[in-house]
Amino acid sequence: MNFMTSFRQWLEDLVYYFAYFPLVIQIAIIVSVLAVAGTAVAYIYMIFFRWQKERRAKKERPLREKVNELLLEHIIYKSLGDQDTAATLPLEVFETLPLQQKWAADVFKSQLLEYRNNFTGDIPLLLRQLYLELGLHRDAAAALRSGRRKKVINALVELSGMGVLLDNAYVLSLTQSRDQYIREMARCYWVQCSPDAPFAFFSHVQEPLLAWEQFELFRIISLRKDIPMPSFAQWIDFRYHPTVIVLCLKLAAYFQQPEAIPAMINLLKTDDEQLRAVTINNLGKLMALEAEPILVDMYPQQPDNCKLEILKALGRIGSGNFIGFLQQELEHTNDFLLMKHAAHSIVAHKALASSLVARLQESLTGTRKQLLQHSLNPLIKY
Amino acid sequence: MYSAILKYITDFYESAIFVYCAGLFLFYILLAVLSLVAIRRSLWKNKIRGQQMLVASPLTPGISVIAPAFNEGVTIIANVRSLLALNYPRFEVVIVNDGSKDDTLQKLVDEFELVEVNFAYRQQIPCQEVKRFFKSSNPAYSKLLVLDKVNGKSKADAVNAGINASSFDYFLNTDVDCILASDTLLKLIKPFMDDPQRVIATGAPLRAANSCDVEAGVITRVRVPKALLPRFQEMEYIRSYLLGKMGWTFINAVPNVSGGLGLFDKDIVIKSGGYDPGSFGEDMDMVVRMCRYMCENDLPYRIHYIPETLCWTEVPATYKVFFRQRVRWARGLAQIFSKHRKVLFNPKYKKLGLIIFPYNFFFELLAPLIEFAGIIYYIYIIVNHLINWDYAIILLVFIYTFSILITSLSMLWDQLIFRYYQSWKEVWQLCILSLAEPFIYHPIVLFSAIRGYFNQLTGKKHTWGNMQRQGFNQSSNLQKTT
Repeated sequence: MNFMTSFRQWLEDLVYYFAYFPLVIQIAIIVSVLAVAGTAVAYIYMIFFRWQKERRAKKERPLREKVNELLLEHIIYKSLGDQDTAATLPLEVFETLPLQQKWAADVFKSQLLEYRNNFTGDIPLLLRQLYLELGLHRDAAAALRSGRRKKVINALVELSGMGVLLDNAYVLSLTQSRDQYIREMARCYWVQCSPDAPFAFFSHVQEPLLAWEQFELFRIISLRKDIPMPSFAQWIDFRYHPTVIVLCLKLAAYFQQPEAIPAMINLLKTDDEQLRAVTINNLGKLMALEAEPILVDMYPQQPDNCKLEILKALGRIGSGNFIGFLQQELEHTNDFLLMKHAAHSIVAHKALASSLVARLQESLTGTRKQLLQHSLNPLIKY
Repeated sequence: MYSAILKYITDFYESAIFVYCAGLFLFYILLAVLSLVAIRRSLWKNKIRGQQMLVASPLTPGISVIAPAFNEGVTIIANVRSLLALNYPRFEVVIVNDGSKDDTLQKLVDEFELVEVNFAYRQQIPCQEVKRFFKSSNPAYSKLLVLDKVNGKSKADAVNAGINASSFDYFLNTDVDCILASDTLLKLIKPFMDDPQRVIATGAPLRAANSCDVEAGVITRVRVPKALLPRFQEMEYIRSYLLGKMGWTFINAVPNVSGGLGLFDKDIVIKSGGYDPGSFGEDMDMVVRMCRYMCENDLPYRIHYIPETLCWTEVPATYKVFFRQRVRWARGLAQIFSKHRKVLFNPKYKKLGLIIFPYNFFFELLAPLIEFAGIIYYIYIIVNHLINWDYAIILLVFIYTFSILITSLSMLWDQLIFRYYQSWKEVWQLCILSLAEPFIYHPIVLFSAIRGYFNQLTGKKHTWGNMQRQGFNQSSNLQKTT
């Protein structure tokens, strides 16, 4: 009790004499009071936030279960069981949900997105139809034109996830937005949903496509089965942004479009070493037989990364026409990586190289022999 | 005259210390704000950019997971299995047996059906001799490569050997006894993909695995450590990663990527000379040298930290081991400043020279010395009855309340975002601990730092000792009992 009384007295003195304290002590007192208040607020907020999260989870759980139940019963099982599912969806069943409330609509949309991501075939289309017929796209449509960055991006993510294209001209203009994230999301959205011209923006790209964006676009394009793939050779041209060219090189190789080979060969003249290396890599993946002599001719003047790609490409093409060149590189170069890839490419020729491999095993010594054995060992992949 | 001079000196000292404290506190507040922004930004990016597409993409870059092992025979099998089970489409696991004296290598050979192979190995960065290479004859373990090397007396040497043998352009540096989240590689590679600048390293927070439930090398339930010392360390890790590293990430001035978990651009690591086996703080030294290399070659770069905890490690549970670890860390810091002294205040090194190094110099390296001097000064003025008790108490309360505020904010950030702990009780156990930290934990950290500096100054030989592990709450019988 005495301690408490003295402590209270001390605090009262502190307040009373505050104005007479040196500045340092005044600052210390103010900061201490703020720190105590800040700590209290932090703890209160922690309690409140945890409680709020738990409350929300408790509120959402039954709705989520109900949504899952309805989706499984009326969409998933029906679609799986009956290939000729009626085009009319049982909207009245879903309208019993409190979808006019934002939190409920958000839960419903998140479940729709999850199911769309996890199913293929008709189910994603039915879920999209349900989303549209319940009018759930209206909020996203309004958000798209709200001008608020986060709202626009969230709307793009939602609409893209649901595969619904709204406001074509406006979305196409967003692919040129100054905001990196809006631009990126709009491009992905456009490529995913545009029915007739998903690659329209390729010609107008001014800012580089980040590696991430290239990955995402590549994935979306490779999953689109509803449109015929255009010839990506049309964008493999110096007129377009280098990152667009890189993406199109990869797409041309992925979709095995040999008509892109002349454009790729033309691109070998570029001064951009990185772009040239990617081009050579994709020529290899396309097994461009006609590119082999050109690659071998240009080899001596190339930087190391392009030399490596040429060696890899010769291995992938594997015609056997330049196996002597690979042998020469393995026997004479002093660069470890070039040696390694020459050895890998010789081995990649398989039957065509069997007698050469046997001879090399006899004649090579030291690191060169070790590299050949490394490449021949099926247990070692790289 | 004498007393006037003494008074002038003491007044100056007291004011200088106050300014120093105010500067430090301002930095902390700034970091707290920046870290919240960085965390929110990171989570928002995660929301709009799913990482699962990396799993299926043929464009996903390969990663070499490098994990040195020294006398890890008891847990090595579960740990390697856990690394092999990481969710990533293109990776290899390089286990570097660093001259273990126990049955680590034999266990690996038996369990994973390893056979010795003629492996083309190029030593690009210095390390002890690698005697043998092993690959599995079982295709299920085709991702595994085991190196058997001569003991290099440091983790740095073993990691260098792993880097030399690795195949991919990125490598993850971890410890074989760390427990990684299954999506670790997917999450750590993301910043490399979505930054317009060249990213040279990424890291993520570590936490104490001491009381967590572990099943077959996977964390099944995160728990606050039961013992006091590991619990203090858990609190310190949360503060350091969530409040410190995330704040520095926001301004691209990350000073260090932890040796327990970091994904690196191999090309830059090799060009910077690899890890220094002679360094006591090899992880920070590596990052400093990478940054120096980028600045000296005028190459823009970024180092990222992501807020999700991806790695759980067993932290020291005894005061002896803890003290030894902190002595080594302090010595490593002193060594870095001695080795890279040209960087300090050098505009050529941009943020490294003008922000990272000055901050670490004044508020990390000098802090224990200033604090120690402060304690001596307090004792002096108490003994000589020169103390104004009212003012002294006010100043101590000022420091105490502020330190609690900073810890509370880091706990709040943790709760706002992740909620790793399931129960309230666990959160409170950590919160309450912040009240005791300045009296129990902080003095140990302070004196270990002073000891580390002393050892560095006198050149005392460092003994590494054993990290005496208690093992995790494993449901299997794989507990490490060394």
